[in-house]
Amino acid sequence: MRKIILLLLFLAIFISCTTTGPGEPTSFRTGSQGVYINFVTNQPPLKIYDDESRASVLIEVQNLGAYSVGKQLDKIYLSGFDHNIVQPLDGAFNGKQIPNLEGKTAYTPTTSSRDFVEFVLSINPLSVSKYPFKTLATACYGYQTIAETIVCIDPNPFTRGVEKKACIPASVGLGTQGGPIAVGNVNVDARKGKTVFTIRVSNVGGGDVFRRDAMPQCSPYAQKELDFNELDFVEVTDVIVGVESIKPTCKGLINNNFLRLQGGSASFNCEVNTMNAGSEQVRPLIVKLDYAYRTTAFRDVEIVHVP
Amino acid sequence: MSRIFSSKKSVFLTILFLFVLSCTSDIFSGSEFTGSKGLNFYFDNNAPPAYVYEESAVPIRIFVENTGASNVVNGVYSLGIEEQYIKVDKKTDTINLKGKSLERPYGDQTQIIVEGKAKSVGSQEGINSVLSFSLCYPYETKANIITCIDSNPSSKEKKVCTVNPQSFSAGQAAPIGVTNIVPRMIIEKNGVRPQYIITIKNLDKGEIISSDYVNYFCTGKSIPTEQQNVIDVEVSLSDEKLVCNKNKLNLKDGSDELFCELQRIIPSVEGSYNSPLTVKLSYGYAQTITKKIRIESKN
Repeated sequence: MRKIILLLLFLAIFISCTTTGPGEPTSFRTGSQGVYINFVTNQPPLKIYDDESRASVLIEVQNLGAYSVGKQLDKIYLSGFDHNIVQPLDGAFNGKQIPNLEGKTAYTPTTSSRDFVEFVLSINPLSVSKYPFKTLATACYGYQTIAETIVCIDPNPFTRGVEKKACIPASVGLGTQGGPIAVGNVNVDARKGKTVFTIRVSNVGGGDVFRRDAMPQCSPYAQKELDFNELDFVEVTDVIVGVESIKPTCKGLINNNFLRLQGGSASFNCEVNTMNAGSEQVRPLIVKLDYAYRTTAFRDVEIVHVP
Repeated sequence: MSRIFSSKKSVFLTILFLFVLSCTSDIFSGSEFTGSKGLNFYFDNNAPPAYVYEESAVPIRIFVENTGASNVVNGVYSLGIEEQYIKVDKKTDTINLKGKSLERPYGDQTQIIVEGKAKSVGSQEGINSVLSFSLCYPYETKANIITCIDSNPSSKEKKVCTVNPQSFSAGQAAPIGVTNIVPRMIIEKNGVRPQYIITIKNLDKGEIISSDYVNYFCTGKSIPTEQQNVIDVEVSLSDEKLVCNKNKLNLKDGSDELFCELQRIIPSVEGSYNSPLTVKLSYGYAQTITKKIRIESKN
């Protein structure tokens, strides 16, 4: 009898500790990936025989981030082979459109959307016994990161006395926000009458970030490759504190818009006037970043000559 | 204690494995077949035997195998004997043997059988004689080397391969082989012009003679000097012929180098990719083996 009571008590405690209240929001802006691409197993197979004349390449495309893709310029390209031996029959030179893939939302915080892109290759008979090569899939797409956090602003950070404060300005670590470019942390520097935010942006996706208007240069077949003034650029589209855009106050941006990453990260700072703030208070800080991204995947293939 | 010992053993075996792997890292020989011989041939141990008696039969058997990847067509063999001591029914003939291929992993083999007879040694107790057997045959080496083309070397984009020199120590199933290639991507307007420095070596111990004159070696005719150590060469990149600084190599010192380049410029839009470089060598090869035989007096 005692054992049963103890068991029921334990069960009650266990259930109460693991239930979450109704309507608790789950953050969907998490993760360091945007579009992830991968060759489907056996498509192409590791060995292709040259009497087959055609080979299908199937690429799985997943949107792991919080922004939708599939616009006109979002494309996948296939390269890395000798065109005298392997000829793409469709789309490899101009790229194939990335399908419409919705990003994570508040209603689907853990679901990533997925689709497939197919290329068909023509295989010419070999004059050698085998031709091993590494095929490269390149995804070029536009993306956006929205970083949201709560910051404390204090119009009088150095008041005399030891009065209690509603909040104390402090730096905030943000982690990742459902995209390959992330706001890593925001340093809050409260001064009399204004608060300065130093915002650190990093490339956490493992690929290449570049300006959206340079999308055509992302293709491996482009006449002109991405150059110094296009690669490692992120556009800061807006910085909002509360309901006020403080983007015009931001310094450290090129042409007032772009942040150049060096060694994968960079910082810029913006300030908010706190003269009329009254007293210390918390406000939402939103940073919006716009950029284009390039992700790649490799697959080893061998074409074998059939005598 | 036993655990410590077994973990030390695992570490040792791993290090040994890595060492062996690094020593054998030249796994790709530049051909689907490896080897540094064309025709391999030897006297049978007992034919001829080490000792025969005068005026008795001298059986001679030579085993010949094509261990390379090229077919031998109209090769010639020649048996050299001291006619005052031995006579034979046939001293020379043609030989044809197919080489290795994808359908046939082992080349053709044959036995050359010659019936001889030892002559009288007169008043001597015995004499030593030397038999020689020469094979002369036209042969080919076809080296297929997968090489990296980088049409935009200064680009920072991800590349599927790296342009690097390659060495081949295992041969390409022929007595003459490509041992080294050094590729260079010369940047020109809007692209690159691939260039290659190719080293070719005599990997076996035979004589190199132009394929048109190789049979002279076995038939005793005089070979013009300019036809000795000469190899015809053709190089192509993905079936496009390269222009080389010479179309005949001279391997007087055992090796020679060749410089070739592609006539057209590969545009930078083609990116980086692997492409087969084919080096085709045509030549004649001549080798000789010998065996001593003692002819004893019957008395």
